[in-house]
Amino acid sequence: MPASLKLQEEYGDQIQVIFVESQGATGDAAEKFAFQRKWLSGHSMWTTERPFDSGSRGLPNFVLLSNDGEVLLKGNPMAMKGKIEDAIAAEVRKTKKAPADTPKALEKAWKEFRKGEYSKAIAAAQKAATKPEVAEEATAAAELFEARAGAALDQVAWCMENGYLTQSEDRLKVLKKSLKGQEELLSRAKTLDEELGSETYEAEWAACKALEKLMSKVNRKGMDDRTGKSLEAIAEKHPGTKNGARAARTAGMLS
Amino acid sequence: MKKTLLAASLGLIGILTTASSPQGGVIDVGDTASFSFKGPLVNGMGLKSLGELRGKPVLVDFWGTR
Repeated sequence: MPASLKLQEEYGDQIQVIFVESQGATGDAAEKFAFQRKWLSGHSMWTTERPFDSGSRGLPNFVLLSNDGEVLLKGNPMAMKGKIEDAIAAEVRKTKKAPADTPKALEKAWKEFRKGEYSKAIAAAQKAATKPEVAEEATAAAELFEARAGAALDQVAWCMENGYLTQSEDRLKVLKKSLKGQEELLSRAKTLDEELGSETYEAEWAACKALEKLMSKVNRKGMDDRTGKSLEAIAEKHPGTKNGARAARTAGMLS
Repeated sequence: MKKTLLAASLGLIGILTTASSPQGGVIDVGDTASFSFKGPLVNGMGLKSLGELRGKPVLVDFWGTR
């Protein structure tokens, strides 16, 4: 557990660690367990839904997926710590390049995509699609890049609906830049951005900032006797908001 | 004494054993993983499937609360 948390902290959003509680705890119980050990503050994701059977009956165990979703390693994380670290480092290095066997004409498109430059990636793939020898592959790549940009916007919309407003704002800032030239996608990003700055989100923003301020302090200094009361105060001051509800829920996890 | 140790060992195995099996068979090295989550993940920020994480390595860490 600590080793995986450390890897997530070290690599940030270049990798994703997903912790899967596998002894039948409820989502709430697993979250409370992790929260009380201060494991929830990073980028790691937590679930009780097992995405697949690793084949191991002992805990902890792990499965490492490549950039393309292929199983690279699996087993006991403590026994294979070095192998996991080496494999992750190699995959992260690969993320800067096009996938293996990519035609030369499509390499630029993939490199742009890997950098998160959706518009440049789509344009480069569309340009490559004019070459008959790679037309089919290039068209498929352009469609994939568009779909991924759309999915990134879907995620922003989800974050907004669920009160993760700072994350939404940060993501939209990057997306608006990387979608320049893709009018339809850019227009959707701008609409979300306008919505985020509108009156509709005023109360949620106030709650979001209050909760973020408190949680930032908790992450820096740890919880103290007043943390629970501060969370309850946020919940009371911001009724009907997602962040207010989150504050109340977090207060409940302290008891 | 031996019985006590055996019981303790079995208890430990019980603690370290996973619960119910998930959908699908055992995944192996070289297989491609795909899965759609039914509910939100804590810190998931709207993630709905493993496919959305393509482009970065994913470490799935199975752990237990007991």
